[in-house]
Amino acid sequence: MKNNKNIIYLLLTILSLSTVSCTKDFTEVNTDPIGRRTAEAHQLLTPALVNVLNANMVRNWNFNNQLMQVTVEINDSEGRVFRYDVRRNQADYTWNNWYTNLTDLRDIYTIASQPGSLNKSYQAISLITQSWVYSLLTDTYGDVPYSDANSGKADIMEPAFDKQRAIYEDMFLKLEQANQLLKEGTAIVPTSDPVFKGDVSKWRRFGNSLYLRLLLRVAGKAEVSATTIAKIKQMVDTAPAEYPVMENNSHTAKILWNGTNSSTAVFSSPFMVNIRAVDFRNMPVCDFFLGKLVNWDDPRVDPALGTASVPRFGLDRGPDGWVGVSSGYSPGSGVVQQTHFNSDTENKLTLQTDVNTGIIMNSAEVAFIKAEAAAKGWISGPVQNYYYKGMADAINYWMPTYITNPTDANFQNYINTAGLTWDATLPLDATAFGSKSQMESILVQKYYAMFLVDFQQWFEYRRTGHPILPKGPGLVNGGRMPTRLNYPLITQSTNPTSYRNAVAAQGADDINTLVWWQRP
Amino acid sequence: MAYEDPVDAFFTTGFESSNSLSLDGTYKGVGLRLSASHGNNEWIVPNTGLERTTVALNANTTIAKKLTINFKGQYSNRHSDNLPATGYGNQSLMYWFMFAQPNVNVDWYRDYWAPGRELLQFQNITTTNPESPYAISEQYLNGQRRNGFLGSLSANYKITSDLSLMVRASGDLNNDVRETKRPWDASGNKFAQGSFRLANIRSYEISADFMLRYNKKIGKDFQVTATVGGSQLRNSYNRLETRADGLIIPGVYDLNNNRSPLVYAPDTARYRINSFYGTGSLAYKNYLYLDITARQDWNSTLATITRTDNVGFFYPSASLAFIASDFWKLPASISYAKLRGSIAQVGSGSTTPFRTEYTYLSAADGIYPDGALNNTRILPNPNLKPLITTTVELGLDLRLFKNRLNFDLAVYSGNTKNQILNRIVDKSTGYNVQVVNIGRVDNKGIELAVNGTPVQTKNFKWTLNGTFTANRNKIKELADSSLVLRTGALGSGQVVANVGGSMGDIFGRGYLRAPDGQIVYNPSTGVALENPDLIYLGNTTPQFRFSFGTGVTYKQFSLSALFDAQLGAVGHSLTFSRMASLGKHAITVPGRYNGVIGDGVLQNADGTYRKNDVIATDIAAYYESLYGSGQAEGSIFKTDYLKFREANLTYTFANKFTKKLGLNKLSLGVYGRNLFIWSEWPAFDPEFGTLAGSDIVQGFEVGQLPSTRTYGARLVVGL
Repeated sequence: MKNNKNIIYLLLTILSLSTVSCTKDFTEVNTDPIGRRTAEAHQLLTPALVNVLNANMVRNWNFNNQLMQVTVEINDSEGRVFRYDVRRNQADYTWNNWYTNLTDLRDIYTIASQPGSLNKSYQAISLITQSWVYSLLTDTYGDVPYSDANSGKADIMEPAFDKQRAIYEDMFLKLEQANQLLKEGTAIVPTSDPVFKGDVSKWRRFGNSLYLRLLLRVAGKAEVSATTIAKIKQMVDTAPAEYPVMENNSHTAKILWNGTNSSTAVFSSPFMVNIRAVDFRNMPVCDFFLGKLVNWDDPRVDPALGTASVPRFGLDRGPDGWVGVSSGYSPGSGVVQQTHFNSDTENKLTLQTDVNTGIIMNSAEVAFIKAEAAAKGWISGPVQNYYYKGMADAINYWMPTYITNPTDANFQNYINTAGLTWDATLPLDATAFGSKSQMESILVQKYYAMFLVDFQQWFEYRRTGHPILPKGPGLVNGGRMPTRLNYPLITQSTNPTSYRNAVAAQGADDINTLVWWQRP
Repeated sequence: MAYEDPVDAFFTTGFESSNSLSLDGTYKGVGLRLSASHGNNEWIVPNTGLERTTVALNANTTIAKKLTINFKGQYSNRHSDNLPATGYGNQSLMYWFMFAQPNVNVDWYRDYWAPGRELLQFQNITTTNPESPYAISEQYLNGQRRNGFLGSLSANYKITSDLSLMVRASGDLNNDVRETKRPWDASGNKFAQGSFRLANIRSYEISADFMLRYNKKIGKDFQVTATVGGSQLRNSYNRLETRADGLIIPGVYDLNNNRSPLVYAPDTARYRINSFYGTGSLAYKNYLYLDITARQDWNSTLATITRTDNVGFFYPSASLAFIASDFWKLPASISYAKLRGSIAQVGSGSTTPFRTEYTYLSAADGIYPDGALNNTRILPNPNLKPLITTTVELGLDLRLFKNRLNFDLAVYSGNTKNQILNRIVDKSTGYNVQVVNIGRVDNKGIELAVNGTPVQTKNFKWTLNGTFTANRNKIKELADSSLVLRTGALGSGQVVANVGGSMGDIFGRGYLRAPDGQIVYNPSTGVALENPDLIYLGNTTPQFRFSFGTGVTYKQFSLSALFDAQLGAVGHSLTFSRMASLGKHAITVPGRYNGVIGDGVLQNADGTYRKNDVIATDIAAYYESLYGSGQAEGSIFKTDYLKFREANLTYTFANKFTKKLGLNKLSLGVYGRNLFIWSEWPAFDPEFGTLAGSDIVQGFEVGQLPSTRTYGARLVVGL
């Protein structure tokens, strides 16, 4: 019996010891040894920007370029974007990518505002890159979650949609603030800045250039035109030293890819990572895009000025020569591929692995913004200086040694031969097919300058109606260019109430509802 | 010219062999059992298969009068040079079949390298899409070598004749090495220069427990049993994958052949569960039994970095059984009758750790400079609560005619609170998924098992058995108005939980329908129109399950067969959708030459409807509109099935004969498994859920591999 007692005592001792240790070390055990508790502002920038550019380039290639007659698929089936037949699931990819990466871009501001890691430049970089991505969202979908967005961490799981006007007004405040913050030139980590390698002054130029882009986009909207036009004038004419913008391609915001055909290495081109060589190669160039360039004998498509007789844009001629395919053809019309892009597998110059395709915003666009503002009399001219500067910068981006500025002989020769000299006698605007106008002249060139830049060609077409596109017989949607993308279908389940409110406020959730800045 | 269906032609007959041997004996007072087994499986895909070897030793001995020791040890090895990948994507074999031409000679795919470009570039003979299936099975290799050790040691000490103590420790250790080889030009551009990845996975689970048991007869009528016990469990998983994505020399799979810097992708998980429990049983006169249990668990996965106050949870149960046939004198035809009732709770934390704290993760596996990071895309839940299931159950066990006809019936009703799930959130929150406790789901169901022996003579016996189960659940409370739990690959299919709905409700895009339910077609092209909104498409959890088995024994022969069935659920078949929209499925044959008029209506200008009279001539567009990726409804099918699960025929040699050979037992049999499936399901097998038992993972079939029918012979020799 004594033995038994001892054993029971022993057990009781073990039991009581165990009770104490029932949750011992649990906090440590349930702490992820791989995940980090904190991040530094600079660590969040590169992946987010690369991911956004990735989505932009993929959708530029298979959505924007189809709508804007840069390219045209050979395909008779339903759901072809070039026929304005846009499937509803087209909406998901950009929505998902833009929003998830905004979490990191917004977090940069939060981190750079904390006492221990205060950095005004990172605050500004966050404001600029956020505005860049939110502007893509609102210009694509219209009213979108903005003030409540990216706040899952604060437990806002069903964010309300903000009005586009309110989003624009807030982006202007952010960009204004960024310009002030960057004035001080607080240093950033150069190796973590894939865009400007730590040159804070160039971030300031980019922020103000983006500001100009967004101001111009809403300048025609009656409720805000007076203030936006005044702002453009202040930035360009009155106080340019206070608002430095991009002046040349050394200021262009871009991420350079690694130039290899690796699809897994750091900074592999999104065209290489996401588009199969066979699809890249089988994308015919549209005759609208190619025809003008060939007519002008444009250096970007001149085989003699390219590499091994391949023009700078990495094109390969079709069976009928340097011609493209007309967009909007009817199913069953037996269209065949003509001029198309080279892909990685041909061992020829190709945009698929080109280092220069990751464009966020370029200096040529800024020149054309000024050209339009000058043509409309909002700023002083002369218009042609801005117009030529834009054209020269657009070519310079791809062929930096061939043309460096508008006074170059190569450039003068090009515009004279091509008949692209500025014609101030043209009416400011004309919309009939084939009509000439100052707006058409500027926006045709801007269209080429914004080649590969996310959805900008489409946004500008929706804003201005330029360049005037031919309409093929196979178009659906009543031949109307889509004016937005619908919201992702899953939003109806994941955010049902806010979705219904947004549709009630903005109008039917389809591709023909006008976003605020497009409404008369 | 027609060739054999590529699916039939590509797959070969697999071969599986399994041998096992066991020895029992006693040596110097130690009971020993040694067993070894070896299995070899050559699978139906060429160049795939695996080999298994297991050796186990059991030993038990009584050291002192009151102390017995038991030891178990097992070593196992699993080895494969290639395991096939599934799913929707270029690396999946079944992806190819969705695009395969039904009338192409499959042998044409055997020469998959482009001429003169061996190891560098694949050629595509019929489609610009995926690689040849032979390229996938011969060049896309997924190898595995796993070594496992399992051991346990327990001691039982009889303190008195009523009281005993058991102490046990056990461990399960695994070391798994996986090699993933991808040639140049693999998967479109994904691995343009190939890839070699080597993953080293070390995992272990160790546990220790004790149980004190007290058993005593009190007076004439009462018997008491009580136990008190406790256990500790530690589980750990560590994986490190080293990636050489991009190879210098094609076809050389070595980490030193890397073109870009090696990428290291770590993964880890660990958890601990500590428990105390007690049980008490009281038996009265062999006809009334009361059982009470109580258990307290502490689970580390519920802890946060600052607190552990919510990691513990307690769950009790009570049950009462009454054996009526022993209490009353019932008619002779009733051999046994037992009534039982119970109320029980079961609690559970989770075995997925690290879901309570917000983290930053290495971006793109660390390829960017300066240790670039992303915010987590999975929102953690610092207030995670344990799941508690409460069930009330009543049961009846009835055996008639000397156990020749038996019924076992159970009805239950209960609820599950705070199930821990990943909810898919709108990306505008900035995240993909949020970890949530979903609220309360009520459950009720019935389970019935019947077995009988209609004929029994000296040499002949015929048995029948069957089961029937039904279950319904209803969502009563949710963390938010609706929770999206799973999404499909195409057509916006999604599993959504709504209050008032059921777990496993599937929604998606469907056809535009007239008020009478007919599909509305496009008046100019004749293709089916899509409904822009989300519609309910069915539920992925079966409402009823049945099984039916029978057996006949005649002298030394025995024959048995087993069937089972399920009813009442639906699923989305991606294999069907892709094949139909690409024109690879027989359903798309009508109208290829002259067009087809879809079954449904057209809307007139005044809003009324008329029978569809427009011939769809673009037949690809027509079938895409019916079955393609624009909507999910066209590829939703019932997963109802009846399966001939198993058949066995065995001859057991008579004792006299086996004794003569000096053997204990000798039998020879043939068997077949998964012999037939009767089902509307368009892909291979309506049971495609990746993790059976939970409705969340069902619903979307994504490139399933064919299930296999197995025939075999079995020889058992007992010494």
